[in-house]
Amino acid sequence: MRDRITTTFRHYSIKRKLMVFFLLLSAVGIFVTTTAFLINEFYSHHQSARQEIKAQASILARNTSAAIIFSDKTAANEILSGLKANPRIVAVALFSMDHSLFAHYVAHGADNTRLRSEFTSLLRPSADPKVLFTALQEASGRFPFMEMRPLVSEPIILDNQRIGTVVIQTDLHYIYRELQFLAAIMTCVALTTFVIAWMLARRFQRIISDPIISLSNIIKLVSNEKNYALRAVSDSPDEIGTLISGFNEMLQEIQNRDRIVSEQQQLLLEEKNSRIRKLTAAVEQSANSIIITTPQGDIEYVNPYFCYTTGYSADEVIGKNPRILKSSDSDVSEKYRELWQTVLDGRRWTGEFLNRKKNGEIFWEQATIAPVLDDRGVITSLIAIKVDITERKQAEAEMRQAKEQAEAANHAKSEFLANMSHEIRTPMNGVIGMSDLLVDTPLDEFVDAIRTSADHLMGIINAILDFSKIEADKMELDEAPFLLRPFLGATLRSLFGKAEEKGLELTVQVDQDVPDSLEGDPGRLRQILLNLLNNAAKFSSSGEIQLYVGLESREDSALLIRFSVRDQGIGIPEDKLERIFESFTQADASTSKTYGGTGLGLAICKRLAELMGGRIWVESTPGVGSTFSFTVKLLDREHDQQSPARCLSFDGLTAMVVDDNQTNRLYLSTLLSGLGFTTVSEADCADVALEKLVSARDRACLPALLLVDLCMPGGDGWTLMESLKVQEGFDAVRRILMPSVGMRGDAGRCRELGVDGYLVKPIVTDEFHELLRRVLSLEAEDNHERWPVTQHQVWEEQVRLVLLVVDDVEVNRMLARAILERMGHDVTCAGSGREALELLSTRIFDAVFMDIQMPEMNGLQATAVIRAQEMSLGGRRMPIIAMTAYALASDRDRCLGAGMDGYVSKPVKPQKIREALERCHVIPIQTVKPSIHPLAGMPAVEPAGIKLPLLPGSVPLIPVFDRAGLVDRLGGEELVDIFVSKFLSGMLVQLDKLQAELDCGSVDTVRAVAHAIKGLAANIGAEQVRQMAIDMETAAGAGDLAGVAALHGCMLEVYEAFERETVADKSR
Amino acid sequence: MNLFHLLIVMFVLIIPVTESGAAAEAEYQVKAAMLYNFAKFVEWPADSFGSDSRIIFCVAGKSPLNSTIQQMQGKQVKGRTVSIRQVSRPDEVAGCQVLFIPHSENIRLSAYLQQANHNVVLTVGDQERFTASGGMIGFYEEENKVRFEINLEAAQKRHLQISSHLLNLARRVR
Repeated sequence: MRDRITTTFRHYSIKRKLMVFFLLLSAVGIFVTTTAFLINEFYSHHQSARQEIKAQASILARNTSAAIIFSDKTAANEILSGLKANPRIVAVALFSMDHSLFAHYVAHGADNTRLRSEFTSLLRPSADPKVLFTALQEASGRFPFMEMRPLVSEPIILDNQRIGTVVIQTDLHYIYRELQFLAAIMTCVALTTFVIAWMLARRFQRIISDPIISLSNIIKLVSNEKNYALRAVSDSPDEIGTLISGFNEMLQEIQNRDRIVSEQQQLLLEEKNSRIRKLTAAVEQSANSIIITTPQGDIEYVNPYFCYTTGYSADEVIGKNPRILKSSDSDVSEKYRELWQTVLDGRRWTGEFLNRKKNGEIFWEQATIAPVLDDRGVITSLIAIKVDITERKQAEAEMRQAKEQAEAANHAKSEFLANMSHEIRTPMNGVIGMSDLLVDTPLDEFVDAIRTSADHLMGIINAILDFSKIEADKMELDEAPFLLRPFLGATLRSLFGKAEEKGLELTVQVDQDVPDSLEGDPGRLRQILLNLLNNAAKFSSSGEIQLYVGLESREDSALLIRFSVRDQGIGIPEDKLERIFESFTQADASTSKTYGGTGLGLAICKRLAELMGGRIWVESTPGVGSTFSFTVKLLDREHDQQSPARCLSFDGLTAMVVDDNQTNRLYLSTLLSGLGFTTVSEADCADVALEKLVSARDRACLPALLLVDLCMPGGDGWTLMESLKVQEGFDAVRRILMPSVGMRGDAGRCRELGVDGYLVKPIVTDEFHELLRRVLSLEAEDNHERWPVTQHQVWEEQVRLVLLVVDDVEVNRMLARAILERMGHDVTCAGSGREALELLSTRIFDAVFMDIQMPEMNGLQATAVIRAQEMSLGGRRMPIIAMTAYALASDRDRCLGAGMDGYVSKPVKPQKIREALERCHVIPIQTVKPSIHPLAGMPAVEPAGIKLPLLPGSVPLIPVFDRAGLVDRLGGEELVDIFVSKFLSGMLVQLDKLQAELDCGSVDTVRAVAHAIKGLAANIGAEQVRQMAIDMETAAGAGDLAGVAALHGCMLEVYEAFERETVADKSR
Repeated sequence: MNLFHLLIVMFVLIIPVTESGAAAEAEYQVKAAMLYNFAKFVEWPADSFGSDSRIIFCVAGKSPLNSTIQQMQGKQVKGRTVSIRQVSRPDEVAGCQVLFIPHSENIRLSAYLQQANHNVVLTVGDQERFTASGGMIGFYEEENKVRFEINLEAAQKRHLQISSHLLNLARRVR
């Protein structure tokens, strides 16, 4: 029941709810009030009635006391009758002491309804008052609320003595009447109040319900119409107002979001549309055929190009399968299968089809077919994009053909070049070789001519081959590291002879910012430089040739270096300047006649320069001179190179430069200042220099260093040095002599004159630094006995190798060791092939110098064993350089064929050793000879020695003892005596052997001995002995025992001559 | 009914004294009781009492009241103990609060009354002309019932307050 009510109530509108609430409240209030009021009234009435009766009883008691005491019934009745006035008193009974009824009163009209039973009984005549009294007495003790006919009894007391009892009965019905009346009134009041409440409620509930209803209506409206622009009106700041405000805000928020969303949607839509437009346009406009099919392959769409290509219109093909394009010329079932597999897998397939147009034409198409997948990965369509590749196919075929042809042509070219190279060289080798052999014959003049021509021809051929190689793009550039300044020095040195001949001065200037450690093709670079320098020398008769090297530009480690060669020669007329680099041209047709040359040189230089990433150009004024410049790209390897310590501090030192050439003076001054020398004074001739030095001495400010050019007019370097040695007070000055060319014997002279350093021009910075450092660290005292510090020493100490020298002849070993150690290397010697193998198994060597002709195991055998071991053990290939007296190319080939890497012919020279080591890449390349075959151990022909012919018996033209040469090879005089004595003892052994073998008559062993002697003699510089040994070897080789025997006598003679010579030497 | 009648009745009654001795006794019993009760309805001035807490009921002469009144001896009236005194002469009334003068003392009535007027005494008699003579409360007989009449003036002269209740019961009030 309660639930029903609650539910029903809940279903009421707010209005109703509020009304109900208000009214309920009012009703309850009114009801409660009324009831309370009525009850109160009843109660109070009751109370007052009770009190009234009691009072009345008391009064009566008092009033009737006299009557009772005097038994005056009349009086008593009289009194009682006075009660008429009080209608509420229904009956009164006076009882005397004995409980008899003394008097009584009954209200008029009181009947049984009003009288209590006791009273009615009392009034009956048969009543027993006493009994009734008790009853009445009892009844009067109670006075319950609901008693409408209450009894009250009161004792009548007179003078503290009870004389009787009065009992009154009233009728309270009047109360009810009163109350009813009241109730009626109250009801009316209540109703009125209720009505008023209702009206008020109606009025005031709107304060609450109106906003809510309005809000609710708006909400309904909003949700029905989805119109979020509506707003609820709020006119009160209470919670409902807050609710409404909140609601409004929410609507605003929704509106905002809706707006944003719709804007975004709009954007997206636009984007999508734009994209669709673009894509559609792309498809429509595409110059490829595009077909879209169902997953089963039925055409849904074709683009215009398709129609254009195939000739079918869209309507004709829609609904059909692209197979309609299939040309019967091809079997494509395999292709189709593959296609379907790929595509159904979700991947793209590309392939080529030979298709047929509507008009029957066949054409090639490359098709790319891709599936279109929806979100779940189901294929919804297939797209095919087709490109007409008919032309391409044709082009491909043509290209293939052309390529084949080109390859064939190229192949032919290479073959030709290779052939040519070989074909040309072979006869050339023959010519040159033969001319060599002819050296010892009386046809020496002719031989010279042949040789010169052959060389010349070789040069031209090389140029032509180079040129054609470049033209055929077969020229490959080396990428080798090299040091610039040493490289320049070496390059220039090869020009010295010619320059000296013509009296030309060679200077070089390298900019400070050009790094030294570079990477490029030094060979080609050298080729260009030599070409230009040779040209400069060729076309100059006087003046100087300047080589300038500068840094043109730099990009990280890629450098563009500029080389300029300036001469003071005949110059080149302006109109010829452009053509000068073209092939086969010279400035003047007559030039070749006067000056010779192929006219290819500059063209080759141009191509080489361009190949090396640069260019070449010339500036020239006829009659004044020319400057040829070129640029090449080289890599900066400065960070790689372990530079020798360059922290040389010459701060605060002073120097003097003496040179007649201003450029040189300037260059040296700049160099010295750059190194820290504070003052560099100059003098242009020896006399001036001496003057300055004397005055400096007198002022006690001598320079610490003196650099003196050798060739100066009016007193050369030697003169100055002499003066300085003779005169006093110049001990503190370190002196360096700078000749243009290194001459034999200069070292000795320097030593005599107390010259501290000997520096051959051109000056190369590194060498210069090191030289200066050494020179300046020398003490003044032992001035006299010192050899001058030279470049070689400086140079050769930069690399230190661990080398093994294998030779059965002790002198040879010693010589090789001396030379190698002088170069700064660590040398171990082995006396035989076997010993060499043992040593090689225990230690690691950087390279091996192996003699060929050795007993038991010769050099070739030993090399073979080493190589075999390397193969099986997988070790690094050890560079093995042959050291032998064999000089011919065939010998060289044999050595290389046996597995050797290089070849040095005896007499061994430091230069050759260095080159051999460089070629084997044991040491970095500092001097490189232009080689035609990269693997060549040496140029095709090694001069076999001094070209002077020797006739049997004619001795004097060949020196007995080339002492200077020995000294030169050894790098100093110290070891000469030791070597000589070694040689002598060695020779004795050999001569004995020779004798023995001759006696035996075994030509082969004789040949071997002769060969050994040849080597020995070559090393020591006993030229005559050597020559004799050569003859002997040849003769023995030819089997001419008689000739050998004859030569033997000569051998002994020349040996004795050598002995004499060396003894005489010792005594000097 | 007035006291006169009452008296006459009483005479009639009393004449046959001998045969109505009992009746007389009864009558005077009633009168004694009434006398006692009258005291309950009368206020004496405070200084009219003696130093003790007695209320003196004086009976003049000889009458049947003398014996019946004895019953009242020792009873309480408004806190005072009733004490009965016999008075033979009027000058003995001093100190009496209540004086009963029977009709037997009729001769000396005025003397008693006079004497009583010098004091504050409630004079009660049963003569016919008691109250007319200045007595305060006179008994009379009516329909065989003892009734009384009150001379309020006389009482008021002597500053005696007689309760209205009593007055209501009395026949005649002056």
